[in-house]
Amino acid sequence: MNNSQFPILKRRISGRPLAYLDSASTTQKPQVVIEAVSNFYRRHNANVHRGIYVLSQEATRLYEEARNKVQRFIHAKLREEIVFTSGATEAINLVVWTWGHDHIKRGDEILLTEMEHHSNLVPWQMLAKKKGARLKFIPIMHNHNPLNLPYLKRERQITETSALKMRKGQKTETLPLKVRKGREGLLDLRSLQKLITSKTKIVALAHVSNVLGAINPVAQIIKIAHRNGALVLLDGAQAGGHIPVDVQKLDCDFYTLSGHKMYGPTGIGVLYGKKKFLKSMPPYQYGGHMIKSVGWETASWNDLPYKFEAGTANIAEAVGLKAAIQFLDSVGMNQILNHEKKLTAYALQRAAEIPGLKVFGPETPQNRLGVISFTVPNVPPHDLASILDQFGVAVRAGHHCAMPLHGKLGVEATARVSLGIYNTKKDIDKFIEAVKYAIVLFQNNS
Amino acid sequence: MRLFYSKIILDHYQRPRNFGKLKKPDLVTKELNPLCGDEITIYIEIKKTKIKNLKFEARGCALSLASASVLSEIVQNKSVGSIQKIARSDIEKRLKVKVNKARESCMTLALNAVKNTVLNLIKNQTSKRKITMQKKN
Repeated sequence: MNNSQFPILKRRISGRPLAYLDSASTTQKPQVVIEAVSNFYRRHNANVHRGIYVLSQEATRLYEEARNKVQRFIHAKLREEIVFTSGATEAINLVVWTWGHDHIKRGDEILLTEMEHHSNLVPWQMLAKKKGARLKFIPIMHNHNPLNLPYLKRERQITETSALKMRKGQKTETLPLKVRKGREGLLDLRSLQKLITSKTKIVALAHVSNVLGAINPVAQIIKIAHRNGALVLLDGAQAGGHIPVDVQKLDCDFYTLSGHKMYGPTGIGVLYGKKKFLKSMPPYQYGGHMIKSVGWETASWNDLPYKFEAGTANIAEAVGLKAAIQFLDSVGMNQILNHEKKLTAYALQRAAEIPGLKVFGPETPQNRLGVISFTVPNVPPHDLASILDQFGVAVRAGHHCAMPLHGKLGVEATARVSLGIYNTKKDIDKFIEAVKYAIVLFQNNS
Repeated sequence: MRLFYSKIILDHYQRPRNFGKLKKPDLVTKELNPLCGDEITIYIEIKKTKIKNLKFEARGCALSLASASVLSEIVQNKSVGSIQKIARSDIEKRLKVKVNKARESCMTLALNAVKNTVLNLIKNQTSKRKITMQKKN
């Protein structure tokens, strides 16, 4: 719908026009974002918050305007609730090593889900290990699928036991599930009441899954968590720029964003936190900018949000993020969501044409976004991605930073198509044609 | 368009040579590529200083399996000392393909496994020899 504004999409790959279907990894950047970053360096570059001279004043204004922009974009109550980080990963780590470090004690429970990205899993693992706390996981609904991929067949036993081991190591409390159609890949909320106990201090989960595409029923989970006295962190890396976000309506305690996954630059992310929590949390890193005054042996901390922004910030990137949000606003988040929903429906419908193609995650466009992980019979995901690349179709293959989830799904790797604002039906058509070609190629030779 | 997936790759993937186990291997090594989920177990039989037989069991992508398959042909009857000289390009030549950085690890999974285990063998033998020499002294 807006692909003319993305210069990179004019590129040809292997002599063919680019069909970029990897927006869940990172989105392409519109001209306005590229301009904003380069214009900052050309005209306004200076360090923020300190300089008295004109350039520094301009840079400070632009940087703080970016904060205001983010505040309005996610409907935060206060601008000091917006902390700039290097990305969603740092935003989660910030919460883990400040709030988590202060509040998680031996025997406490941290509730995650089985579909978390490593960035919302590994930091909690480390904290739990350090504190003697316990990780629990809200299971996904998923019918067990026999591993019928040819390259898994040879040592089926090993694959199944390794998947089992993964599950064991993960201490997942799985319930016997019989999944109804349309609920595949969604969180099993029936188990939530059992999983949340008085020991649960925080529930941390993805707003949208980067593997299954599932939009999680976060409002409901937040209500249940709060009723039980637990805080909620939402990892919005895959949601930002795809669905409207209102942190006040959601009533989440923390929310994270990844700038480069929402058409902004790399190296910039956001942590939103309710003021009462941010205020009580110790700093995450120590150094310049984050102090109020410093003596030889002691120091005091700056006000929010600067307490959490040690060192020189990624200023140009924040300015670029502001441009990205302006771009999103100009298109309209509802229209963006509509476009992605329609395209997702089309992609799922076309994918169903291919016999044996298995989509992981909700089969219907309801409750899901355009992140579609799948396997096709006889063509391993990595080989498929290599073949698609020759058609100019960019997709990802692997575990998409969710190894335990793939273990649960019974596969080592999947191929993944993920949609952005610039994708069209034509991109999906190219993708489907290339997949069909790959299947025939691998078939003809056997 | 020159296709990345030559008939040779697909042939070696679907009909891997030397696939299976050895009953009495001198060396067994297992290598994982956790990023892709590739897994390979290699069995090597050594007679004097030559690789007499190499078999492997693996699961993974077509490229890693085909690479292991051609490697199993390359190393037969090669002297243990010359294994380190085998390069990725030797496999590329046989498969008539040039891989990009992202797929290098698929292609070199088996090769690195063989190189490492053979290198360990040589190191162990040298240190054993040293020990026996020291004892004699």
